[in-house]
Amino acid sequence: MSHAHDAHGEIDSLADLRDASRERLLTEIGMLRQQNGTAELAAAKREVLASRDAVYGMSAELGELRARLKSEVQHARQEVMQASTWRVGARVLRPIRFAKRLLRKK
Amino acid sequence: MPRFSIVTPVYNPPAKALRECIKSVRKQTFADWEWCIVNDCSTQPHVRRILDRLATQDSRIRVAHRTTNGGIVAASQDGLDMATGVFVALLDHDDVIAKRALKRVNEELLKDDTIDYVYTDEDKIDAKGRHYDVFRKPDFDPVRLRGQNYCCHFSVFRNSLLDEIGGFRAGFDGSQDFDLILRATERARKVAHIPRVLYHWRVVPGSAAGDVHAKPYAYDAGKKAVESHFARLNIPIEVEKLNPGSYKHRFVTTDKSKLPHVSIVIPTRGDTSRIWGAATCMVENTVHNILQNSTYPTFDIVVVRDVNPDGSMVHPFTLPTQKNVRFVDYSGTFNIAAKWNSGVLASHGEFVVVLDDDTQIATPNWLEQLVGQLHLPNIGATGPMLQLEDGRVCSAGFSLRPKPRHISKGDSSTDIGWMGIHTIARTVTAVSGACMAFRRSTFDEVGGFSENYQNLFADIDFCLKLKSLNLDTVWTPEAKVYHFDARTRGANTTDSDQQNFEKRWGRFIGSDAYTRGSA
Repeated sequence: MSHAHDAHGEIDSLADLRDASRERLLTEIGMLRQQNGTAELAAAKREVLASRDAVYGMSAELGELRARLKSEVQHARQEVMQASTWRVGARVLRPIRFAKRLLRKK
Repeated sequence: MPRFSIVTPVYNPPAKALRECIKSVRKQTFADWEWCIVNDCSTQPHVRRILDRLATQDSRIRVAHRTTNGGIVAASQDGLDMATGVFVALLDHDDVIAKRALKRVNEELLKDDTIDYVYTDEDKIDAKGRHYDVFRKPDFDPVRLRGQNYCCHFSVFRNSLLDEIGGFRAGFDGSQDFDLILRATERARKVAHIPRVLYHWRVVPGSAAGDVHAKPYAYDAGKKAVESHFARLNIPIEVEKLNPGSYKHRFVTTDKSKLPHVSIVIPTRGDTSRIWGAATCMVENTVHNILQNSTYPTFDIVVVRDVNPDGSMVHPFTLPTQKNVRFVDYSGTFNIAAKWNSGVLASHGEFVVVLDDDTQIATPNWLEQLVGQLHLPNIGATGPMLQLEDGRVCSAGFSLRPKPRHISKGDSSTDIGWMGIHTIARTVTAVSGACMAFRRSTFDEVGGFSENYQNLFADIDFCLKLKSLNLDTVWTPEAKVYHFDARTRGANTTDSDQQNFEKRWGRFIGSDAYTRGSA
């Protein structure tokens, strides 16, 4: 089986390895290095992609949190303004506010 | 110097309509305006009488009477020459503006000093004064404007910008405003849209508002305006008149050898399904169809195939052994974004198209049209008209209103759609990953498709990431692709995909800048 391999065939058994010429071994080592290099490069590229996506994702999530916070604050403010205590308080204070405005004008 | 100059060319309007037009201007709640009226030698005596009386009633109103009938362009240009305001608003002689129109426009202009052009929503009014056909317009979309003068009424321009571009041009009668808007928006620093109906377009017999066939010469002028726009952008194009008022543009290539290389990435498991009644291996059909019919001269196909742990294909299939068909093996758990990313990383094209394996191209020049749009400024991704097996629309882009959905899904693709949206290229929030083209460099910049999504939303997420780089997504009906909608793992929304999408983009769900109307 091993003898049937050509000079560029893969070494896939111990017998193959024992009988292989130096030239064939060097070719095999080169091929393996290249394959590993390509695989490593591909993995690195994917990691770069994933990192960039994570950055965009985090920035989008931050925007989302800000928007939610803003809407919650608005909602809370609206609730306070609509509360009966607030409305009664506003009515009570209306003459004082009016007087203040008059004083400021003078 | 008044804030606004309203410019109105007048030629034989019915007395009642003219009076209503006058009333609407004089009732404005914002007072800092002048009205430049040009009577284009009207033959009906009531016109001169009404206008002369009007000029004596209000010092802000100036009336000029032309001695010869010069047509709408000459009369409008005379009006522009009279205008001394900071902004110029265009109003037709029989139309009506809302009482708060100028006030609202002024409020918008005060928000940003760089706004050079503002347009608003509009509706139509019939002879009895009844309002109908409300046109809730999208936010400014230069792509749609190339196919349709959707901005139209109420248009307000910065006067200095009109000076810069030289005002109205002779030879564009009937579409002189379209030509003006195209030229103005090319130079405008900022364009604003007020999503309120502030203009009421009167429908009278013989007006373009009521009968689109009333002024055929206007559509020839409109075609010329679009051609002239592309000539200024230095992009070779063929423009064709569609339904009146709409124009389609097709990218043409004078030198095919200069076209950039495109890589087509097709993820597949090798499934077989029934297409038009016949059992078909979908990926084989898709690839054969591309190789046989595509007219684009330089492309390669990267097939991302599912393989078992031992390296054998999950569902074996055979494809022609051609130099431009390559394979990438994928053995991970199903994740459409991961498969797209693997394919794109293994590709070499300057432009990339991701394409589902259950598709079939319907227009041989699909790649020319998809890639052509990407040469225009600020465009990050493009998608075609996706059609179902029976010819109905599968997707005319994505809208986020009221929730993420395909625009016009299930509608007839032979129908022009609301305001002609099935017939003209336009900006959309996103396009389907079943067929999407983009620049490889942009893909790298935004980190490709997010693998946080297993099945759905990775395509919309990608387009929204592009938007954060100020790159728009364009849908074009000039490229048509059948999508048999038989996704390898179904198209059901998974909870985690939905949650991940809302975590990033939830604030955008519910409203959509490009589909405000009935789209």
